[in-house]
This record gives sequence, structure tokens and C-alpha cells, in this order.
Amino acid sequence: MEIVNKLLLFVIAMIGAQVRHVLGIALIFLFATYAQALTDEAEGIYGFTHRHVVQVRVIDLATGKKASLGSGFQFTPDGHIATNFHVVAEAVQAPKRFRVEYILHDSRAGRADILDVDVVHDLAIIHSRELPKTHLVLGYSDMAKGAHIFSMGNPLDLGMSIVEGIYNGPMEDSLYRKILFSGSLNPGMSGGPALDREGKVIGINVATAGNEISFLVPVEYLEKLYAHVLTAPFTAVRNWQEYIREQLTQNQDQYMKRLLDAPWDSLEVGEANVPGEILNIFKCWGKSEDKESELYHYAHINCSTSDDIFLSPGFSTGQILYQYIWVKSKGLNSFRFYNLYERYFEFPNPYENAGEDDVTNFQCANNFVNVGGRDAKVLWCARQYKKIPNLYDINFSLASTDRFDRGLLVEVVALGLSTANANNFVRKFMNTIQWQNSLSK
Amino acid sequence: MAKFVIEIVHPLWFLREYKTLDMPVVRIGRGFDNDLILGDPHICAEHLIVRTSSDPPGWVAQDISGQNGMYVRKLAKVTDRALIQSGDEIVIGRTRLRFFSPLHPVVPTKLLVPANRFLRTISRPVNVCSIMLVCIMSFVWHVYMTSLETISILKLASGTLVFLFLGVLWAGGWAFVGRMLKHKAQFSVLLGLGVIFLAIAVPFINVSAYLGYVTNSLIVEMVTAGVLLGGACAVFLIANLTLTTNIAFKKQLAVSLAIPLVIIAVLTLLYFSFKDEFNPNPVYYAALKPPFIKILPSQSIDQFLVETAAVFVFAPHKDLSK
Repeated sequence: MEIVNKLLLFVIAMIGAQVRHVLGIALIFLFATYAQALTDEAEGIYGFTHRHVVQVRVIDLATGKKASLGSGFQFTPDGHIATNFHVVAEAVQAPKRFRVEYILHDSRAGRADILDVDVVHDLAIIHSRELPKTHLVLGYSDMAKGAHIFSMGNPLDLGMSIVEGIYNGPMEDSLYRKILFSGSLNPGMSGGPALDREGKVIGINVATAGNEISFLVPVEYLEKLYAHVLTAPFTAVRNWQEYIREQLTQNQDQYMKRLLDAPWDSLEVGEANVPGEILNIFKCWGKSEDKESELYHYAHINCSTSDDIFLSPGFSTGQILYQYIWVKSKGLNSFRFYNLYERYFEFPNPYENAGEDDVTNFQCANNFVNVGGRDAKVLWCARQYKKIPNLYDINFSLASTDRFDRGLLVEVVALGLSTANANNFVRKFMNTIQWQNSLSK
Repeated sequence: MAKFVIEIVHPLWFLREYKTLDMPVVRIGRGFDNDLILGDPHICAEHLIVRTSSDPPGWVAQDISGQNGMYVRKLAKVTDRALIQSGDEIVIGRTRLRFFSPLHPVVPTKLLVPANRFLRTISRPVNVCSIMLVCIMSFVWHVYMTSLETISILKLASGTLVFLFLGVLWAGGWAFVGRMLKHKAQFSVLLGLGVIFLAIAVPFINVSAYLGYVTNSLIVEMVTAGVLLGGACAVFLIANLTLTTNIAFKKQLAVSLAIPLVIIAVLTLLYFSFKDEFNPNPVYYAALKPPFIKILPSQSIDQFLVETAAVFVFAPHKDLSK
């Protein structure tokens, strides 16, 4: 019986192997035809859309050469081209030194005027009367996750290209809604359209985080901006500084209201309960160290948003981040512990978002403050935006100072807030910090 | 009065020599036929003839060079003759000559300053040794307090070597000065002094840091550190100067106060000349000390935010784009 059984098993195994083999071949074949279909699809879409996609260049008038480069697409019969704000930012900031040009698929070039910008969502509409009447059709950014979409643009000035990728839905935890696109966007493709299978625009290429992680601005924001273009009277020379100031002020008022009104999540750090992932738009990372050779424990958590607003090369705003460090001594006496503690407190998070032309130096004040019933030393600094004087970058640092051998350090960095919002945010931050009952005074 | 003394002050002003002469006429120059031969290249072969005169008592100097002349009593150039009294100075070429008659009063002897009692006490070998020991202990303590790991006593001791090395360098320099000027090096005392200064500097820096923390002001910390360290440095310099030179106390005081002041002034100047106009990061007073050091009461959150509203007030700046 046993022999028969073994034989049977052997036969079944053989058949199984055969079937698997056949299945494998079938799968490869299927995949090949599928891939063939996709390539054809990209080819088709490229064929009927590439005439409406342009390269956008910002020309430095002093040298006559291009200062920055991006893509764009025509979306109305009247010659409106959509692109990214960051592509034309230099021309917006210094209209006397730069001019915007577009180049069509057949190498025809022409001048374009900047009609409107949305710095928060990184969009701009430029316009030329000499464009043909044909254009791309705007669709909807709301699609099923996993759908195939196509992105077009001119990467690195190498020529118009089409990139295939997968739609991965809007990023739920983002302050400004963006679409996650799993495909490779490269520098130069900014401002180009992302199209669905019917060739309708669903979004605008904006940024990449490398490794096929790219972001699109939903097309609805472009429609909103276009509506504004239609209602607002056309003015060739707008006071862009003032316009951008209004947008930024309004935007920070809006999101700070959202932040301040929401109930704040609590996070346990050492013996303290501190604000955690507020509104889910903040992502927190943590690490801790407890080495045998060192005489202290150390835990570090930092939380930040992934949204920043590009204003000009070397100048961005809108970021908020906060971090906590919990340090506990393992045998250091109080003087030695505070030497160590001071070292962690001394150095601010480095600021790389702005340069000398954009912001003033920081002004600082410090004092001892009673936070949640415990003494803490608080450092409070702000610097002003030179061209937007009602907005400030702030730095808030706090160190609890009432324990001999342990302490909590907090640092809050927020960029581009008004005085009132900065104060309210920091006030709420300090009010939210609670100490665990067993140890509070 | 035929006999007289000529003091020759060579162009290197600290080299002086005295010639006693006993003749009515003295010829001075660079040539072989002179009574007083001088090597100064600015003097002629036959430069000066000095004759003793009795009315008025003194000498008559006559310039026979016709070229460089002579300068009498630091006045203008004289090319013929000049009357000289005892103690007067004439300059020929780059050499100064002073004429003295035997009746010229001699300045009273400058008495040697007896060594300071404190310095005498600490110069005893036993005391030098114990001072070094105490100071080394204080350095070890300092290194221990600022370290963040468990460190062996050997490592601690090696941490203090920096201090000792600085002390040795300093004492070596002064010992050389003492050997030159007083024929006494006194290295061990100088080393003791140097080590005392460094040992005092460590607590002084700490005291100013704590004072700054208590008053919550960086300026208090800087000023206290400046005054304490500057004062200690001045006292220390006075001790060094007393040990190694013969200069009067007033001069010692002036020199020892000037040196720390100049150091502070130069550091301030360097700070302001190398300070960047734009700093992307905030600069704040982030000192932290153990809880029992804090004296000032804590503010409430609202009070703090109201009182620090000034951080948002900026002077209007020029818009460069216009």
C-alpha cells in the first residue's frame, strides 16, 4: 500500500509541476500582451495630446539665456497655459529682469504673460494670444486607486516625453491636497499635465520624492484659479508682492484655524504628555538610545508636515515641525546632568528655508515659565519676512528645569505665521503639555 | 679741575660706558689721532675738540667736522662751538656724550625692593608642591564635572595635562625674563603662580555662568567673567613682574591692567569684525543649571507671551527691490 501511495504522490507531483509550467508560460504570454497594450495606449495618448503640451522657459533679460525651465499645457481655446508657480517664480518676483516664453511641439516659440498665480498649490496661469485654438480637456482628479495615468513634460530639456504610472489617490494626511503618482517625474516636467486614459487632464506635475514617488496638484485647483482669472479684470502688471502676501496670509490663517480648533492628540514622552500627531497632517518619528557606556537615557521624537510652499529659489515657507527630547540621567550628579542637558538645548534646528534677502535676523527673548505646574526655561525667537512684513518664522524652545536628573526639551519651528497665530499656537502648545500625576508637584 | 668723566651712550641706548680723562684738550673722532675714539660710522675722523674752561666752569666743545655737526642739550644743530656744563649732553653722529665734573652730585642709591611676603611664602618648595597638588585636584574635579561618561582616574588626570602644559609654557617665558633681568629664574614659583591662576579661572568662569543664569542675562555673565578673569589676570601679572623685573609698582600696575584690557578690547573687536551680518539661525541664551540655582519666580504662559511681544517688533528695513 505504501508503495502505491508513494507512486500516486509522485504522479500528482509530476502533473502539478507540468501544470505550473504551463501556467507560467501562459502568464508570461498574458503579461506580454498586456504590456503591449499599455505601450500602445501611451503611444495613442501622446499622439493626440503632445501638440498642446509646451515647454515653459524663464529668460534672464541680462544674459538672454534661460534661467529656469518647466513644462505647461494649453487648456483653453483662448491661449491659457497652466504651469507651476515655481517654474515662473523668478519672473513673478522680478518682472523687470525676467520674461516668460513657451515653446510648442514644433519648436515655435512665443512670449507669454503671467495672468495669475496660486503660491499655496504651486500653480500659475500664463497666456499668449498666438496659440492655436486646440487644447487639452480638463477632467476630474477623483479616480479609482490603481488606475493607469500618464504624465507629460520635458525632463531636463531632453525633449517631450510621456511617463506611465499609477494613480494612488489623494494624500489624506496632507495639508494641501496632493495626488500621489507612482511614476518618475523629473526636473523639467514640472507644470506638465497628468492625463487619464481618455487624455483628460487630472492633475499637474509638481514634485517628486524620488523612486517613483511623485506628486500631482489636483486639476480642481487649476479650475478654481481659472475661474479667478475670468472674474478678475486683466491687468498686465499686477502688484505680485501684495498678491502673494494676501495668499500666504489667508492660507496660514486658514490652516492655523484648523490646527487650533482641532482637539490635539496626546503623546507620551518620558514623564510628559505632549502634543502628538495633530490632525494627522504631522508625521512623527522616534528613536531612543541607552548605551552601556553612557550615563543617560535619551529619547527623541520629531514631528513635521510634508507641505512646504515654494516662494523663490532658496526661499520656502509653510513648514511646521516640533521635536521632543527626553533625557534621563543614569548616575550623573545634578551638575553633570545639567551640563549634558544644556548641550542638547543649545543648538537650534538649522534653518535652511530662507536667505539674507528674504528674512531678517532672529530676535529672541527668554524667561522661566510655569508650564503645566512645572518650571521651564523658554526661549522665544522670531524673524520677519522682509517682503511680507506681517509673516514671521518662529522658534520656540522649552526645557523643564525642576528635576535633578531628568528633563524634557521641546522645540517648535513654524515658518510663515502671523504674530497672532504664532502666539496662539505656542500658547496652546504650552497649555497642552501635561505632566504625569505621580510626579507633578 | 682738569679731571672729568665722559659718559658714552651708544646708539643701543642701554649700553653705556664711562671714561675718566685728565687733560685740558680732548680730541674726539673716529680716526687714530684722537684721545677718545668712537666707532659710530656717523662720526667724522676728527669730529670734536673739547677744551676745559674755568670761567664759567665747564668745557667748550668745538665742531671741526664741518659735516654732521653736534647737538647740544637736544637743541638745534651746532656747527662751531658750544659751552657745556657738568651733566650736559651732546650728540655727535648717533652717539650721546655726557660730561661730568668730579663735583657733580651723585644720585642716591635705589634700594632693592625686598620680596613680597606672600611671594616669599609660596616660593618655599613645600608650598609650591602643595599648591600644585591642590590645583591639579581642582582641574580633575572640573574635568569630572563636565564629562558625561564614567571615566577612569588615569583619563581624568590626563585631562588636566592641558592645564599643566599651559602653566609650564607661561612660567618658562617668565623664568627666562627673570634670568635675564634679575639673574634669578625662579621657575617653580612662577609655575605655582601660573597654576594658581588657571585653577582660579575655572571657578571664576563657573561663578559667572551661574550668576548669568540666576539673573537670566547673558550680559551679566559676560561682564562678570570679564571683571573676574581680568582682575585675576592683573593680579597674576603683577606677581610675575615683581618676581622677574625691577620695575616700580606703579608701572607694574599700569602694565598689568593694560594687558587684560587690551585682550578684552581686541576680542570684542574681532567678534564684531567677523560677526556675520545675517545669521539664519537664532542666537539665544540657552544656559541650563540644576533646579536649586533658579531664584527668579516663573511667569505664567500668558504673562510670558505678553512680555516677550517685542520679539515680533522689527525696525522697518529698506526694500532693495525698489
